Amino acid sequence: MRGFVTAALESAGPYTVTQAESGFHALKILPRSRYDLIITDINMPDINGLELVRFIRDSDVHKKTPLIIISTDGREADRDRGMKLGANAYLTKPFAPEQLLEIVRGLLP
Amino acid sequence: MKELPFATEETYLRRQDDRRKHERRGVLSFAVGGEVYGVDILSIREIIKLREITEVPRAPRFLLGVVTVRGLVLPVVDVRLRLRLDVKPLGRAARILVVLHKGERYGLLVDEVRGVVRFADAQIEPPPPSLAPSEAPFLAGIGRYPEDGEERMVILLSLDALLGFDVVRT
Amino acid sequence: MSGEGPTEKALQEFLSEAQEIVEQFNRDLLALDEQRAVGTFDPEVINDAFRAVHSLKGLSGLFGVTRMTNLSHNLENLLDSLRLGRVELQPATLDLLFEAVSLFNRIVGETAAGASGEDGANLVEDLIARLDRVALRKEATPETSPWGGWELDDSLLSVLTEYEEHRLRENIKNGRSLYRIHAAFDLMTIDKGLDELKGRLKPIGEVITYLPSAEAANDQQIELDVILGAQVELRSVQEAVVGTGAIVALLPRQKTGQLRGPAAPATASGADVKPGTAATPATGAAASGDKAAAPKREREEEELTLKSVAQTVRVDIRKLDNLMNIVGELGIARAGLMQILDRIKADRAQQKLARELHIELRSLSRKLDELQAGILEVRMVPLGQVFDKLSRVVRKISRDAGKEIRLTVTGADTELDKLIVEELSDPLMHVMRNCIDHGIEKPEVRKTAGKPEAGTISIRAEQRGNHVVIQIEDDGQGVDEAKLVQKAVERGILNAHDARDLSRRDVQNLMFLPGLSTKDVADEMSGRGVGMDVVKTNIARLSGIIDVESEPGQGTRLTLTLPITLAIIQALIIRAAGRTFAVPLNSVLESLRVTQADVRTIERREVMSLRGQTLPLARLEKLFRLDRADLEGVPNKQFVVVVGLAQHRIGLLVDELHGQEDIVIKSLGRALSEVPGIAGATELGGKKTVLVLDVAQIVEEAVGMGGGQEAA
Repeated sequence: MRGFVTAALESAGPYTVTQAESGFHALKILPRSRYDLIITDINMPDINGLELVRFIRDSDVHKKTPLIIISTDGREADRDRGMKLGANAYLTKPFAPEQLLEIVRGLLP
Repeated sequence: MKELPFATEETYLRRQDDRRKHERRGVLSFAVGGEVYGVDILSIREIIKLREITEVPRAPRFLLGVVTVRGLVLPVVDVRLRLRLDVKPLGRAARILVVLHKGERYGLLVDEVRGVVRFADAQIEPPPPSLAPSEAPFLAGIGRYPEDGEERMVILLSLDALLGFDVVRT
Repeated sequence: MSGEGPTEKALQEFLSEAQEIVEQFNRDLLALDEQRAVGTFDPEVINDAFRAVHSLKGLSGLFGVTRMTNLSHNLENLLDSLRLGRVELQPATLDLLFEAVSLFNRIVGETAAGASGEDGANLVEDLIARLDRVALRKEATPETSPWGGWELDDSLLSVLTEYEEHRLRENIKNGRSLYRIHAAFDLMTIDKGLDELKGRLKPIGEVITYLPSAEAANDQQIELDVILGAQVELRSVQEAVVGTGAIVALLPRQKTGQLRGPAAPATASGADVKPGTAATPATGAAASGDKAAAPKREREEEELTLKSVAQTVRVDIRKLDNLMNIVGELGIARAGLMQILDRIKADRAQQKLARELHIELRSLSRKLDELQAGILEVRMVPLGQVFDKLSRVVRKISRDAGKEIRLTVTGADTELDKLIVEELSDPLMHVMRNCIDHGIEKPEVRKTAGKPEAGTISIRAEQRGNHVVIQIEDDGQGVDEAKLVQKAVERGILNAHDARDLSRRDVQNLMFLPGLSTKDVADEMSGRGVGMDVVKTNIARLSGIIDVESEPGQGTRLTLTLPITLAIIQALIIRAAGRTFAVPLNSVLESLRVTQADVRTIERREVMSLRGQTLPLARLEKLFRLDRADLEGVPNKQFVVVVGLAQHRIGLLVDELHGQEDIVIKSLGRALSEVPGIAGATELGGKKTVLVLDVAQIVEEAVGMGGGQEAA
């Protein structure tokens, strides 16, 4: 999934993508830099995407950063929770690169 | 700017027709029992010189046995016996045609290989009824072609019929 | 033949991977089936089954096998509901899942054959409909039961995924205590720190989730709360994490007397409560699912699985065949070198050279043998593969037939050449079917006979020398010998007079004759029955034999004897009537010189005496109708090659013995595949094509023409 998203973004536009291997890894790198957009899967072992969303929204640096959550087809509950916790948009797997790009462009000025 | 000719459906169909009219079927012709026969060239894999054929016991008479070609074992059919023709001793020109038929390889023993003849569909006639009845089931048609000012004839054989035998447990 | 294009290769990869996943899924179902008897299902197994189906969905989606994707998708829904506890696993549901396995296999088969599988499409639709019915059935009310006395604040509940929530409920249901373990990690070393903590917690409980806290003490640290469900007391948890700096606290319990619904707003803990947040998820439509953030256990399982995968390699059997061929040809080259060595040896002036060459050749020979043995080993797969499939089939057939069957399997790790194992599954299945349909009686009948209501079928496999013996035994009603004889006489296969002379064993073996196979005799019964003659032919094609023993009222035992491998074999080269043949050495018991004086004729059959016993003889040239036209007639001195399979033994009379060779048996091709007595051909010394005898068929023919000697 990560590879797919990275490839889609990098080939489409002037985006630089930083990948985190896990929720924990994301915790590690998020405070260090400013990101313009964050995309996270919901279903991850250890720290799941919902927890990450809340963490991000609670943090100082990325309180307002646009956030896209990726949920799985049918998992409406998880998706709703994610949106309630403050995500800006969601994508449902499986999705096409164009859908991703459309949302990304919509969120980034 | 030069105008580019575009392919239209019409030109496409026309080209197909032309191709079909001039399509030439390649036939490998060979001599068996004094007559000239032929099979579709596309089914011929290779032509090998006569070699020792290992007899297979309790197989039909026209099945001479097996040979190994490039590691593969194939049954050898004596075309003369299969067509119930007179069998004369094999000369130095005898060859085994290795054919691929329905995924399996077979060897066809013939007296002499003549060459490849190309026929357009139009030049092939269906087999006439007057030919020897023992041959009939194996015939696919008659091809005529000019050579050295004379008209030659090739009797086309159907591989389906020629190789359509099953050795059943006795 | 067209070569393998990229799509062909990809298809092969898809097929082999899909097959493996389906097999894993099947194993999970079998495990669940066993657990059903005990009453509790292991959530890990259900989760594993769920993951298998999920993988299948993804895989088939990639390759465009829509039927499989659709079926997997619906199965995924059902399995998700199962693992979330929304639907109960009932026997009928389990049957549906097994049906899915059959359908998957069918789809794989159709895809491999390039068939469109249109008729199969209906089956898929039908099963999907039934799956949906089950998935929807228990939908009813989402779990609104209170949290078992625990007070769980919203800040925790709102960030749990559905799966994590389910695990939480499960832990509560099982009476475990919930702990919150607070730990701080240095950003630099967070990975190590986490692993350490996980390692400490794993033995004592289940980690349900990790909650990161944004309020860290400083920029270099991350703080986490781990929610743990454990059976043990607080003190034990504290002991477990001593030294990590983690602080353990029990999650707050509700004050007694106050039953609050899960929607109650949070207390304490200082986290935000988002306005309007409902702590209970609105479950609603049919469950569907995907890989949820499972507790760390899943991660470890994955690691375990990865490890075992890395130790095995999936190999296309055709590549193995190719390697075998090359080894075979190396053997031929070696033989050629040996001949050259002989010629050099004969030259007095080259003795030193000969010696040196000899040493090298010996070393080469050794290595070649090792290589051959190594490759043969690679082709070997355990019979368990086929037995797994059989278990599934037995379940289904026994249910359909209304009979109870207990299946025991021994020796599933006995190994056979992969090709043989694959060819075995059909015949074994037929045998099973017959066992169940015609062997095992209905429960009521068994009860009256004083037998346990459940019939027992045992499959035993064991290696004996160069062969593998598979025995299938049931405790059913045995073979109806009288009826077999009656039918045989009716059909003119036997005349009434001879029938009286048949031993019981011979009568029982009548069932393998075409025209007498179970199918034909089964009129009164279910009308189903698969020709045992077909089974026998299939086994014979693998150069094996099948035998039956039975006791009326007690049961039947079928014994299959198979050679371990078909690829490279050792053979005895013989000559008869001027032709050369190869006899697979594993069927040769011994060989001896004889003169015509040793051969006697009894009732028009040639025999000889061997260590006090009568050995029936068969002249190869007579059997094969070979003429001695150019040769001088039967020589006085000949050889007898004693061959046998199972309990039948005959002596083949041949003219010369030419020693042993390693040969690769090649098929004669479809047209000649039915020639009796010939198993294939081989190239000797790279030059001469020689036929390989099918000893089983020859013994059968010879025995058919007269009694074969039976071992005591």
